[in-house]
This record gives sequence, structure tokens and C-alpha cells, in this order.
Amino acid sequence: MNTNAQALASKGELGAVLEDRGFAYGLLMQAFLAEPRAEQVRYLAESGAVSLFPFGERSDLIRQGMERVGAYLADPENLTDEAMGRLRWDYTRLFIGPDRLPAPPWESAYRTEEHVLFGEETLAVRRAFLSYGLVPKAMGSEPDDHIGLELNFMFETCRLAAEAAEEGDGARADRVLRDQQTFLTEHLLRWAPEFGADVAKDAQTGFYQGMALMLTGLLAVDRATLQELLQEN
Amino acid sequence: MDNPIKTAGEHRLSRRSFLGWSAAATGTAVLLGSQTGLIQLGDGTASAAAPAQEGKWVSAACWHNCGGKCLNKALVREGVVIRQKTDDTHPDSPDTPQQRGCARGRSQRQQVLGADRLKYPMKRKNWAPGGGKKELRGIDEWERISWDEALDLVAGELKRIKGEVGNKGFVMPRINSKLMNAYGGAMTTWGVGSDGSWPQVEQQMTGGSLQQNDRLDWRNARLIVLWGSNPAWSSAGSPAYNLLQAKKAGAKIICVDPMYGATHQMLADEWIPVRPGTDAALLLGMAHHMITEGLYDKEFIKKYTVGFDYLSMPSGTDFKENFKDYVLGTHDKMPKTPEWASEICGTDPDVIRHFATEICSVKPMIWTSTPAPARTHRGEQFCQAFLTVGWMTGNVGISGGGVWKAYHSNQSYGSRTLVSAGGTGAAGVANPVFPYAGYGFADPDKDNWWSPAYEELYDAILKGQYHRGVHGMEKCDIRAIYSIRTSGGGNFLNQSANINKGIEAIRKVEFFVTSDIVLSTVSKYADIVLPETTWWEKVGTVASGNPEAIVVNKQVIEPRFEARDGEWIERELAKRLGLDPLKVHSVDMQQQFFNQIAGAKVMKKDGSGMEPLVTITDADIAAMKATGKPQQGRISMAELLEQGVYQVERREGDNFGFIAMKAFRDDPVKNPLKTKSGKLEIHCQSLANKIAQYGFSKCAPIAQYTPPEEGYETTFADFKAKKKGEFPLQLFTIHYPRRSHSTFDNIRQLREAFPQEFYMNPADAAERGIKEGDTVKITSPHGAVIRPVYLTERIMPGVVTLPQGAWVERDEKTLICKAGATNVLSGTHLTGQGEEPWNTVNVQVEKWTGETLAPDVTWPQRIML
Ligand code: SF4
Repeated sequence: MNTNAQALASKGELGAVLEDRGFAYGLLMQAFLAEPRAEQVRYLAESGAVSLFPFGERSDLIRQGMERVGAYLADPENLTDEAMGRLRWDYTRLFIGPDRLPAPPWESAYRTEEHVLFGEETLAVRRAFLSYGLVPKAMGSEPDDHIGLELNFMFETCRLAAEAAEEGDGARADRVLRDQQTFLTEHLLRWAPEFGADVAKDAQTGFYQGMALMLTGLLAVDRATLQELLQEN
Repeated sequence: MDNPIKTAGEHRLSRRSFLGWSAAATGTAVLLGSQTGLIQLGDGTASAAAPAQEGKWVSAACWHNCGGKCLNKALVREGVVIRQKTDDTHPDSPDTPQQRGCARGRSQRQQVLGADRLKYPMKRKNWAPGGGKKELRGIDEWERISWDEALDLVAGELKRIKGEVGNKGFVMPRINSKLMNAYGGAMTTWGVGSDGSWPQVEQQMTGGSLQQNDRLDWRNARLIVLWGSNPAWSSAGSPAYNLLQAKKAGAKIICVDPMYGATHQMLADEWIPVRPGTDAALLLGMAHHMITEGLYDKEFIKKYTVGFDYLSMPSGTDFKENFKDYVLGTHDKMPKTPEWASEICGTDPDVIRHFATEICSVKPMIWTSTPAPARTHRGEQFCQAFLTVGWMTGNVGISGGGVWKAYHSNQSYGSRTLVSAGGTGAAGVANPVFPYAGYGFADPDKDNWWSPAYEELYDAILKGQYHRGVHGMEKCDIRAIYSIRTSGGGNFLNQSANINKGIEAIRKVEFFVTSDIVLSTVSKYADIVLPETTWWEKVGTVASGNPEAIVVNKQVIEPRFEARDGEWIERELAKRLGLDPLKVHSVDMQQQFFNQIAGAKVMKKDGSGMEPLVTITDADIAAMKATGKPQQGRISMAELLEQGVYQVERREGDNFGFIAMKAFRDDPVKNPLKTKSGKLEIHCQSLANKIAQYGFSKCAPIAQYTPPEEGYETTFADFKAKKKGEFPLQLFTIHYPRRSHSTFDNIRQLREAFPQEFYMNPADAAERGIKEGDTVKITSPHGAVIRPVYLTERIMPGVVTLPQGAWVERDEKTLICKAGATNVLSGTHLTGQGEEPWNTVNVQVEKWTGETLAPDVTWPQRIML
């Protein structure tokens, strides 16, 4: 039995797919994990990294999102210190508080019946992380199922799969991809599209509106990608 | 469909340079993987095999000012609370009921774990030392800051202000901060909230706090009068259930209230409506009937009271001032007949006569009130009249009978404590500016205190002066509001009268700091807000509520996000202010918990006194990381912590009974009361003198009726001609099962179960063209709110109500509150001993022409997911 992934690995071509996916998860992870830092935003603007976001050709949402973020970063007005303050406020009011959170960035907030933080889902996420020896820095006090951490997990496992592929271990790469697929369908896809829609609706800056569209688009594309990679060859 | 595998790799090299996956690809400023939230465990060993842990039930605190203290437990697995349950530690019975939680307690998980918890220290963006843009308080943006920055900023402002104006430049409304006290003190606020006008009246007229007969003795009553009481809503836990046992045992129950509430539906044989603020008039009308018909207990009045008639007047008083002559109108030519009363209180004169006859003929009778009718302007007159008429029936110091007030944690319970928690052992720190606990402050004649009453705080800030008892008006310059709470409470802006004036006052000061678990109303208007732990995140505590049980609560979860407990915050501030942190909070929380357990006492089986409750071994002490001595008690520490509650088993005829005032009743000469005369004082000069010292309003030495501000009479432009005025309706406010005061108002399921509706009689609605479910605007002289209306015959015509405690949500342009916070409507009237007159408010109601309000559970709420 051989999957597309294994076949690609043996030809040395799997790495390219994993780098694209890793890039996408990594960029979004950086956007959602923590408050924006000025040097990070300026670097995104200067480096043109957003224009390199993959899969645009497969998703209207990704294209729209890239355009929105691209336009935001292209406007020098948005890179002033004052604008950085506005961007920071956008992140604060969306994801930190102290007032209502239009888009609480935790899986448990969306999936528990009473919309609380920390639930059975959080424990399942913790278990998935632990199976790769990964733990959140603030485990115990902050929920493990923050959007940034879940993207971090996808990013990290893309790296592990790429490592395996590099070493020519197609079977190992395959196992990691299967775990990614499980994580994507059992966690991210169950809530992040709704979360993304909330962010896109409530964000005041093109930066977060666009990142939210890219997130929703990526998850849909990546589901198909993983399906394809794991299909028997 | 495009094939992702084919299209991949186009920009491979450029993408790769961002990834940082291989050591070679560096040189870029920010790599995508450079800032991560996940870390790799030390040796990278996968621990997928670690089996899921079993859940464990933990006794979890329900710490609110609700009156109850129920047992709530949380099922905790790997630090996550899976679900809750309540008391199942023993079989339920009427004699020894389980301490079962209400809808709020069962929503505790949503409160503690809600997405709206305050997570990090936050600073208002446009605040700067000195105040910054003060007018933006409540509408400003926020910034997350570190604990160090937050603590430095707070300490800096405290130092600056103390340096500029001294310690009276600080006010800490409704709290008593040990840090501020150690730093030289701060003004506080004093007066009476829940207890209304009762404290001085009971102290002066009876020489102490009123006590109640044992819970099981309530079953010996043949008649119980519940005045202004709705325990099914306002004293959740077991009180309504306990009263049901008395009813089942044969007591008739009469309820007096402007509204026919849930308790009345459950228990009342008769409901007697009365207008808010006019209860004293109703009682005087009853007294008139009792006197003219000779129904009252003359023997009792003669032997146990002073001031009823001119023959029993205390020496040194004007004999004409006696109660009987006032009621009969001997000197003022105004007999307080049932007809006279009816015109004021709205109760039918025949009902008044019938009621008066009944309380004199059915014995024994329990005559009990909450302080709700005393939370009125001139509330003292209700308390005086209630005691006087109660005493006229002679039901004092007997089994199945008594005259008292009971509410909150003592509703339906007796005053004898059967089990109690030990003290925390933490030393108090006196406040040099106001060396009192604040509540029911009784020394307006002393010269050792500086602080405004609750109701005068905002004027003190805005106008720079306040009433200082016998010393007259005192100037002040309040620069900062300190509201770091070490034990909750203190949501003064939402829970004190006149929120609009409060916001104006807050926008005047230079600095306002709070600690909070969510962004409650006070914190919304603050400059710096510090995240505080809930009791589920602290080491543990022992809670006392009803006198027959204590609840032992353990830590359930780790502190959420960056929340810290209030004592830690104050110790950190102490360091920055150059104070010894251990002089502020002397004992750590773990040791406090241990002390509460070790010091717990239980009534001996023979009822002769208290003995230690808990057996403690050296191993227990070591496990608690506490210092202490082993001791012998009735239950092991492990067992107590496991079951989370200790309740004294009860049965009728056990050794734990109690009859209030029995010693006095049995021998008033040998066991005199601590009043001036040693008797119950119907005429009480010391009360009149004391109230005069506060300098707000006058109170006669006997029960009289003088129309209050914003009472019934003021709803008229011309009372004689019965021509209504600008604010023709009377609003009173109720406790509601959705909240404990303001706590829990952010919980979605409680919002859904208990909508915040405005109650109105259909007759009043019809006059205004208002239909069921309409959105209405309620306007008082002090502010306006909008709410959906609920029409019901269960409320008297002319009277309306709205549950208190909703979190104010004010439109900054119109100043209209759409949440229906009742304190937007109530005014800051200075009265009596500084009580808050929440139940005397005049309003007008009209159909709202703006957008219809959706139920608040569906709102994109200010606070909540
Ligand atoms: S009555 Fe009070 S202590 Fe009991 S469950 Fe309700 S809120 Fe908690």
C-alpha cells in the first residue's frame, strides 16, 4: 500500500508541498498567536511575504484575504506608530478584552455547550500536542486550544513531516500527515471557519479581516490537500 | 479542481527562506517559526500513551452575597472542569435538608471559565498619571500591560497623590483595604445597604440586634406574617422550603408586599398589597383598630414596653409624645384610622381591620419582615411601626412566636449558631481616616472619622464637601478611587444610587484602579484593571451561611491567565510603597484556610456549648503545609475536605432549640434589655437623638408617618385634589434569581432563564397605550432606562418594578440605559443613618418609539461570548 505522499517522498517532491503548507500555517500562526509587534508587521510589508502565501489559485477566500492584507501593508499610513497602535487595539479587542470578545480565539469557547474556556475539547487538543511532545508555554492557566497554538501544531508537524521526507522516510511522513488530517477534521475545521467569519466581520483593520479570510480558505484547501496526499497511489 | 500537488513548489525557494526549518536558511529578520506558543518537552519523548486521568469531584466555592451557602461540586479532570453537581452527601429531609444550589450556583462554571474573564492587567489607552483624558472613562480603548508595569503605575499614583493632598485624597468605596490602611488610610463610604434603616432602630429600641427562633420552632407558629419577603427569589437555598414546613405544620401565612411574588404563590394564604414607602401608614391604621377595639395585649405592653401611652412614658420626655395618643390623634386631631391609612398605602380599610384583628387573635404568631420596606427614604418609621405593632400582639420570647426581621442568610433560621468556621488568623489593619468597619456606622458624634455616606460619595467628589455627622459640612479633595478587592464586592457604581452622577464623578478624579474577575461596571470606568482570581483559583476557604452548616471549598483549578489573588496584589504594591508586605497581609492564604478549618466549632450534643469540629493530625498539618497543633474533633480533616460540608443533623425536640428574647420574657427585671429603660422602647428618645446626629433627616421618637421623598404622595402634583404629577408611578426594586446583586449578569443561560423585564399592571399600561412585550422607557428625575414590559395583575396599580443588578449599558448621547440598571433611576437622597432608599423612586413610563429591544440573551453583549 502506497499513498501519493509516499510516492512523492520517494521522488523527493513531498518537501515542496510541506513547505508551502508550513509557510501558510506559519504565517497565520504569527498573525493570531500574539499581539502584533511593529517590527513583525513592517517586516511582513517589506519582505512581501504575504504575496507568497500559497494556494490562492485554489481559493477565492485566500485570494481576497491576500489582497486585503496586501493592500493594508502597502499603505504607508498603516505602518506609522499610530497605526501600529490601532492594529494592536484591533487585536486586543478581538482576542484579549477586557470588553466583549467578538471572536474569542479558543476552540472550547466555540465548541462547549456553555461557551466556556477549557472543556473536553481542550483536553483532546492537549493530547494531540503531547503525542508530539509539545506543550503550550502557559499550559494550565491558558487554554491549549488557542487558534495560534493549533496553527502552531500544524506548522510544527509540517516541519516534522518535511524532516521525515528529507530523510527518505515516507512511512513516517505519512503517519504525521495522518495525524494532521485527524487534527484538522476533529479540531480546526470544527470551529475555526466560524471563528474566521467572526473575525472577518468584526475586525476593524484590513490586516485581521484579510488574515481571517486566509485562515478560512486555507483550512478548506488543506483538507483537500491532505485527502489527496493520503490517497492510495 | 486544481491539483495542489502540481502547483506546489512554484515559490519554493522564496518560501523556504522564511521558514527557518534548516539552519542554513537564516539571515531574515523574522522567521515564521521564530515566535511560537508550543514548546518541545525536554527529551522529545512522546507521551501519547499517558492514559486520560479519572475525574475527581471537588467542593467548589459559591461565594456570592446571595444569603445562601450551598454545596456545589466540580468534576475536575486534568485541570479542566467537566461539569458540576450539588449536595448529595446525605439523604434530603425537612429536618436536615441537603444544601442544594440554585441556578446561579450551577452556572458557576460559566462564570469562572467564561471567555469574558479578565485575563491580563489592562490600562486605559488615554490615561496618564494625573488623569489623561478623563472624559474617555468607560469609552476608551485598552492596552494589555505587564504586571510590573501595572503595579509600578498604581504605586506611582498612590505616592504622588498622597504627597500632594494626603491620605484623604483617596476613597475606597465599600471596601476596607489593608494596604491603604497601612499606607496611612483612605476615606471609605459608610451607611446601610441591605439592612435599610434597621440597624439603629433595633439597637436603640431593643438594645441589640434582633434574633430569631430556631428554624424548627417556626413550625410551632399558627400564623406567620412575612412582610416584604420573597425568599423564593431573594434567599435561594432552603429558606422558602423551611417556611413550607411551617405551613405544612399548620401555620397560616399572610404576606404583605406591593407584588404577589413567587413565595406568595407558594406559601401565602393571604396577600395584602401595600404601596412602597407607605408601610408605616398601614401599620398605624392597624394600630388604630387594635387600640379602638381593645384587641392588643395590654398586659404585655404594660410589663415589657415603655412609651405606648402617657402613663408609660419614660421620665424626662413629653408625655404627649406617646404612641397611643399619636395614633388616636388626641393632640394633632388626625386619628390614624384604617381609612386614613388606606388613602396613603392603598390597602382596603376592611382588609386593614381584618388583618389587625387576625394578628391579635391567632397565637402564637411570627411577625417577621425583611429590610426591603426599610430601604426607603425615612425608612426608620417603618421599622419603628413594625416593632410597635408586633409588640402590641404580645408575641415576644415564646415558642412559635416572635417579632423580628429575617432575610438573607438568616431567613427561616434561628440565631443560635450550631457550627462555625474558625477565623483566618490574619491580623486587621486599622484605617486612621475611618477606624470603623463602615457598615451601619454608629458614631456620627465622634471626631475620629472622615468619609462620606454611600449616597453622598459622588457629591463629595463633584462638590468637594460632605456631611460629617455632628461636625457639619466637611471639605474634601478626592483625587483617586481605589477598588482593589481582596474578597469581591465593591461594584459600587452599579449598586449605588444614581449611576449617571456616579459616572460624572468618576470622570473627575485623577486615578481609578480596580481588580476584577470580569469587566464589571466599576472596572469598565476605571483606568487600570487588574485580573483577579475567583475562589475556584484560590487555595480554599470555609464558608458560613445558615447556622447549621459550613461549606469547605477547595481550590478547583489553577489561576486563569495572569489572574492573581487580591492579597498578592496588595503585597506587591506594599513593596513598591516601602511598606512591609507582611504588615499588610500577615498570614498566607494556605495558613488562613488551615486556621478556618482548625478553628471550626460545633455545638456539643447536649447543646451546652461549642467544641472543636475537626480532628487534625501531624500528617494533616504537613499535607496542608501549615503550622498548627494536632487536635481531636468530630470529623477527620480528610473526610471534611472530601465531603465539602458539615451539617448538624436536626430533629424536633433535639437539644439545639432557641427562643429569641426568652430570658427577657421570663423575667424582665432579672434580664433587662440593653436599652435605656431595660424594656422594649416604643418611645425611644435615643433613636431620635442618634438619627439627628447623622444630620440627614429627622426621626420622631415614636412610630409616625411622614411622607418620604419620592414616595406615594410625591407622585401627585396636588395630593389633595389627586392630580398626578410628572412622575406618577412608584418604582421599587427586587432581587432576582438571575443574579446575586450584580454578580452573574453576564451568564448567558441565566439571561435566558430570567429575562430582565419591567413589571407593570395592565391598568397602568392601558392608560399609556402600552401592550405586553412592548419596549418601554422608564424615566425618573435622575435618569432613564428602556426595557421590555411584562404586564401582570400581580403588581399593584400605580406601582412598577424592575430587578436590581443589571450591568449598566448607557448610550453616551442620550444617557439612556438599555440594560435596565435600576440605579440609573434611583436618586441619592440623604436620609436617616445613611441608608440607600432604593424602594422610594418616582417614575413615568411611556412607550419607546425607538428600536424594539431584543431579549438581552441575544445581544452581542458588552461582556460575554
Ligand atoms: S443560593 Fe447562593 S450559595 Fe446557593 S447556589 Fe445559589 S448563589 Fe450559590
